[in-house]
Amino acid sequence: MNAMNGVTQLAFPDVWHVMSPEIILILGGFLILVLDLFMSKESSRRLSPQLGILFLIAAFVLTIRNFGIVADNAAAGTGEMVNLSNMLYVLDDFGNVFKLLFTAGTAIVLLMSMDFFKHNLEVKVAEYTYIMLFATVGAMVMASALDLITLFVGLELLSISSYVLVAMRRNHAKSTEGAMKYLVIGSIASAMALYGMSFIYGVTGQTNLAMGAGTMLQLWDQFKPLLVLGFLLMLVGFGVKVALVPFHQWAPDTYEGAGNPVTSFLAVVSKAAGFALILRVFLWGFSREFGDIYIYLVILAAVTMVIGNVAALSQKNIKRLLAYSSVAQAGYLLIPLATLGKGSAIDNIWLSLGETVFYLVAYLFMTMGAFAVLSVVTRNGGNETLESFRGLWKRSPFLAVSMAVFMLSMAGMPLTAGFVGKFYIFLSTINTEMYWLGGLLFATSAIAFYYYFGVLKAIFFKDSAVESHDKIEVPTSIAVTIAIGLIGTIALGVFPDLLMKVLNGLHWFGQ
Amino acid sequence: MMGNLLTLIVFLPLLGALILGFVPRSASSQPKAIALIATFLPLLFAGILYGNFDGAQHGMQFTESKEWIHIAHAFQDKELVIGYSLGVDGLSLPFLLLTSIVTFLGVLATKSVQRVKEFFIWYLILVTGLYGCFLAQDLFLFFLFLEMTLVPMYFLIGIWGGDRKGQVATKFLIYRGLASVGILVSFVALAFKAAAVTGVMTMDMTSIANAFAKAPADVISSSFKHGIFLVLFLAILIEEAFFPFHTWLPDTHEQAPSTISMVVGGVLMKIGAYVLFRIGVGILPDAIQYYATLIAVIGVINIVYAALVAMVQKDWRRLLAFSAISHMGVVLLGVAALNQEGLQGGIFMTISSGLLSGLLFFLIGAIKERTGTTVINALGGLSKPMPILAGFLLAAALGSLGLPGMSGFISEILAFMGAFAAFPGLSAVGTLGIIFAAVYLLWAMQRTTYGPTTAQWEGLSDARAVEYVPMVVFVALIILIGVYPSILGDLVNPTISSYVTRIGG
Repeated sequence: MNAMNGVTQLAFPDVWHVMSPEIILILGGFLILVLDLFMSKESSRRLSPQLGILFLIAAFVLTIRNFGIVADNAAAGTGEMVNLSNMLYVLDDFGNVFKLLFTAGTAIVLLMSMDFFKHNLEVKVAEYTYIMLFATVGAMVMASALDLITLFVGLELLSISSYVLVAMRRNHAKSTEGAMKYLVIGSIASAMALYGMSFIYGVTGQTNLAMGAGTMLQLWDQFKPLLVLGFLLMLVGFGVKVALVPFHQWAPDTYEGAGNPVTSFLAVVSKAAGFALILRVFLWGFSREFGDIYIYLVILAAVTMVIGNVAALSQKNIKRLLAYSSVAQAGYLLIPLATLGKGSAIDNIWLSLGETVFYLVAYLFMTMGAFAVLSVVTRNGGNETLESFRGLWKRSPFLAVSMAVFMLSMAGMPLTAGFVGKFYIFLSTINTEMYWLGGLLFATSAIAFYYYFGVLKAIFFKDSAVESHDKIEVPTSIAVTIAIGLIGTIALGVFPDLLMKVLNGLHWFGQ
Repeated sequence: MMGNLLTLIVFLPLLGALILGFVPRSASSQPKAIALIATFLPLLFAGILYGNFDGAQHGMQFTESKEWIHIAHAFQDKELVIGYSLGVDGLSLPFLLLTSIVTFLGVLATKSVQRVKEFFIWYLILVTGLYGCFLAQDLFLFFLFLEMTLVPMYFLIGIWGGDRKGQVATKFLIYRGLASVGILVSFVALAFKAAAVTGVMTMDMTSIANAFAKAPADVISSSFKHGIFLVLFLAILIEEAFFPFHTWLPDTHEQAPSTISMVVGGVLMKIGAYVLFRIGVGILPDAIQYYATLIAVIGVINIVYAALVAMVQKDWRRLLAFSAISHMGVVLLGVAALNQEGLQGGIFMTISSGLLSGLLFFLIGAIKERTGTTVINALGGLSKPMPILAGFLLAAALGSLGLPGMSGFISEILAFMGAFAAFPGLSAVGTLGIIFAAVYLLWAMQRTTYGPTTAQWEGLSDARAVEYVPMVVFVALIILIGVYPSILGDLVNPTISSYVTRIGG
């Protein structure tokens, strides 16, 4: 394909055809922004999140509709993807799956936030809501764009929105500290990624991944050092976003500082977006050269699993504990990509994508659920240490059992989504004969038993320190969130085929 | 109903746990009643199954099979189908019966626990896991049930244990968790290699065993088999609490409530031996042959070392734990011999040790309930206030040290007969264990039941009516196997013969 010379005018129907979920969210964001100016403070606080959820549901539905468009196109067999201006922005099931994840995740976050707003009066609700919608749009762009520049725009839209979201509790010192760290490290990461992209552009003369990939294949031998340098710099940049070791240092402080809903947004939506970006860029740009570069991913995955889990062992603050746990989970999530280098890479791509997405969905359910429980329990207990979980089984059997399910799922116990997700990933390591990586996956998971079960220990083994055996009131919005998490975690654990069959039937890259 | 008999056996306890979830927390007697029913029905069904079992056959019977999980592209673009499949053969049936007896008697023996409803919920989940382990015909399903025993045990030790409960529960979790890793890694490797032979990936145990039996050496190299076996063997050493990974067992026995000790010693700990027979002997006999000397040496170390350590124990429960480790060493020795007698002796020893452990831990639990201690030196002269309990304790100890006419004797005879044929020198050293067992058991007995009765133990009550049930059942079974070994031998022989034929040919 040739580079474009002229400027093509994009007609709105074309754009709508490809970007309808994004457009509806942007419109929704602006609507909330404008309505906030006209509504009373109270009604704005009440209505904004509800409106936000409504728009997210609309985007979710539109994304589901897009699956049909992709399928029709694949059935037509033209080999062309539905795209905007020469593959700048594409519509494929890879992007669609992630968009479902983002919109569902953000909707659950907003649901959780309704309770958060009641207890944090300094938070500006309308601002919070539309920034979260814009952040979601950023995530969606990261999943669907095929041009490095556009991808970077999506990355920055998500990042900058996230910095603001972390800092939303203005009078809260830890919030400000967390946001500051996130801002500094995140900006450096973005710069690194951009720097890496510049090398790719320098060699191939393309910013478009679809067009650049072929050129890169031809020039690989000649410019290998530069291309690998570009790859590594991007890996650092994206690695910070998903908190891979050793680029994870911001995560504990930021997770601790942010409000609970924002933390779960970072842990789930932002991380999933990071993985969407990593998969999109590396699978399109580098998949044919994976044999040369996969080893870096293997090392990162191994180090991340080990350090993440070991560092979590000594955490007393539950949010920091979950932050390190989420670092470790990022390591597991990297494995499908890392195993691509072995064996017939192209054949494994579909499987790897299925595994990653399955685990992300499992992760969405268990993490959202855990943070929902956490938000009630820590407020009730007055602090965020494990102490506040002591004797929870007496104060609220519902919260206690739910947390137990989420922790067991994160630890990878059978009959939960977390186990099945890990098992899929594990199979891929054995399939590619990387036995040690598979062994390490489960060995580090066994180490992780210690801290996940530590939470259970606090819940079930000990009596409450504060001697208050009062029942904990669970607000409806939180209870709904927990119920969604529970149903998802257990259903996918017992009947993983429900989701896996769907994933296997997708036209990942429009084919 | 016969069609779903195994499913019923596995899931009735779980159903009981679910029902218990709806019983009000304040209820005191319902939980135990529900738990009794939920463990008695499987016992009943296991009995029916035993009655209808065709002993002449060596294959799986009462099989149930449903496709459960499809994993696309698992092996060379072919899908892996994981099945919900259950079945019994001559190897699993003794374990099934053992589980049903011990877990039912365990409920019967349970007295005065706090938070009784939760206790039985966890207990019944544990029981489902145990049944599942012995009945699963799919490696994935087996692993799932194995993990299902892990979580309840953690809570059972951690909530209802002694003063070091938290620490010991965590130790149990980490040890068994690591063992699970080894088991899962080796299972999946087995499945992939079997797939390389047949071209279809499955986790069905029988298919994998068949694939391995007929695989040409260039498809499955012996070094691969050896590697997989080593990983599996390490896991078994942990699961079965063999030296040097045995330390979780004495701690667990010391800290766990007596009901749980019964179940751990009687059933849970035997899962490792079951894996050794089912996967080790059944699928990887060449690797066992290759490592025979190593396995036998570890077996002898276990027999002698654990017996020596048992001699210096101050606490009955720790003593019994080491005694069990020592006895299970005999199993390793028998398996390493890889002949009919050795394997048969190994299974006899496993079942016998399960029954004896169940009985001994029950009796020690009964003594602890009355005296409040299990420290040997603190006891003494118990035969006077409680002659019946003391009598049964003596019977159990005699059975444990291998008195002829009881199950321990026939187990040791068989295992050593097999072992002497293969490793005369090592086996001779191993027989020391029998002598040591006599020493520590009789010594402990003497200090517990004989001698002057301490004033504070005067007037303690003897066995209650309900306590006769476990005692009599256990002792009857131990003697039954001892005087009429065919009752167990006829069950396991066809299966063992099929294993041995495979090794020979």
